[in-house]
Parts: sequence; C-alpha cells; structure tokens
Amino acid sequence: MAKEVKLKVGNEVATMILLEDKAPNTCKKLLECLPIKSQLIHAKFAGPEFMVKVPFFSDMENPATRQDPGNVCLNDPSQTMCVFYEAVPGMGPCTLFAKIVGNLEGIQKEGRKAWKEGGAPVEIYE
Amino acid sequence: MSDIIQKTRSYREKMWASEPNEIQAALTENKGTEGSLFFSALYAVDDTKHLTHSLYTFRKALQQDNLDLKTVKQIMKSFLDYYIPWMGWLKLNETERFLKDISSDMMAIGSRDEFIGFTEELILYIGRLNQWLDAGMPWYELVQTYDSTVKK
Repeated sequence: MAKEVKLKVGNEVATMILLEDKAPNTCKKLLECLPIKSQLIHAKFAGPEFMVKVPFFSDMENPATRQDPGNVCLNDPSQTMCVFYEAVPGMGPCTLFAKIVGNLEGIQKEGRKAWKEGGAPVEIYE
Repeated sequence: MSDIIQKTRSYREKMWASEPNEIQAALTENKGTEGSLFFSALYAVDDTKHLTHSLYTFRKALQQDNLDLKTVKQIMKSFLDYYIPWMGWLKLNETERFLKDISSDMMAIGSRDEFIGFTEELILYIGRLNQWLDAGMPWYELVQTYDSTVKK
C-alpha cells in the first residue's frame, strides 16, 4: 500500500501518496525530513502551480514534464516541492514523486488564493 | 557532522521556520530613487535567487571527480566576499553577518564531502531567504499595474 503524507496549506489539509516505486530516493529524503514547516510561493510563469521550499537535495528520478492536477514534484536546483493544482502542459522536467489523492479541491482553493494574496504557511507531515 | 556544517545548519534552521527581522527591513525600509522602495525590494528577491542558482552550480561542480578543492574554495570565498557587502546594501544585515562568519571558516574545510555538505547548507539558507522575500512581495498588484500599463 502506498505511503500517505499530509499536506497542510493554509487551513486546508490534503493527503498525498508517495510514489516510492518510481522515485525512491526523493521519497526517502522527504520522509527523513518530516515534519517540514515551510511556506508557499506561487509560480509566476508556469501557471497553476505553487512551490514549497524543502530542506533536502535529490537527483532527478521519474522525470515529468506534462503535469496533471495533483502532481507533486521536486525541482532539485531550487529545492522546491512543486504542487500542480491544475494541469500544466509542459515546463522543464522535474521529479514526480507524489500525487494528491484527498482534498485536491482545498489545495486548488489555496493555490488560487496564493496567486492573489501570497505565501501561506505549509506543513508536510505523516 | 563537521563543526562548520553544524554551524551553517544551525543558522539555517533558525531562519527556516520564523521570518527573520531583516525581511521586512529589505522589503519596506530600503529607500532608493526619490524614496522609492520597489527596486531595492526587487533586487533583494532577484539577487538571492541568483545566488542560490550560482551556489547550486558550485555544488554540481564539487560532485565531479579530480576536482581541485583548494581552487574551488578560493573561488567560492571570492564569490561570497563579493556578496557580503551587497547583502548589507540590501538591508539583509543578518545574512551579511552570517556570510561574514562562515566565509572565513570555510577555508579550513579539508575534504570534498565536507565542502559539499557545507555548500548544501548554504544553498538551503539562501534559498529560504529568497522564499521569505518572494512571499512578502505584492506580486499580484504589481502584475496588474504592469500589465495594464504596457498593454495600453
């Protein structure tokens, strides 16, 4: 059974499953750093995406360019967890390591709010 | 974990979860031409972003075999020494003190692995600093103003 991790953005809590079979190193490093308290910033070019700074590095695994709603990736050069709350047709590849499977609607609401209001607090925990 | 990595990490952990005082100083107190705040705030956001990217390329270089560690350390030292007064100009005074503190210590690092560990902590510090600054910018209002001006 896939491991679940909680993603709290503002007042919304979502569940994401880790793709440990496809991105084992990235998932392992994330788990080692939990709980993480951070903050989001909204993407300025990619569209419906927000980024959360995470305190680890992990080389590319399971590269994804076209993003579906709920995809969660790691962009190693900026040490950010990228949360795609709507589809994004294509940006530079990043490591797809998790998917939001519960309360994507809440994350979408917080994502749209972040574009207008800026960085909400974020927590990632088991 | 070596002393310098531990020291750099403890600086980084301290500023990770709680907004440092220097963020508001950089965004709201650093006056430029005719008392304007915009460009000094924008430079703080942009320069910390570029510094993170540059440090990341140092980390990538450090992962190569046959590396001349002494030369890389000297380049990195010169690089940080350039940025230290610039951070002060941006009113990022806590970061200026942090960089001063670690830039002299880093020359004593004796192995590539230790230097990679140190560089990673430094990248995480500057990257988080950039995110604090970015999150404090009124981007939406700036985008509306810019787009409505240039689309006329």
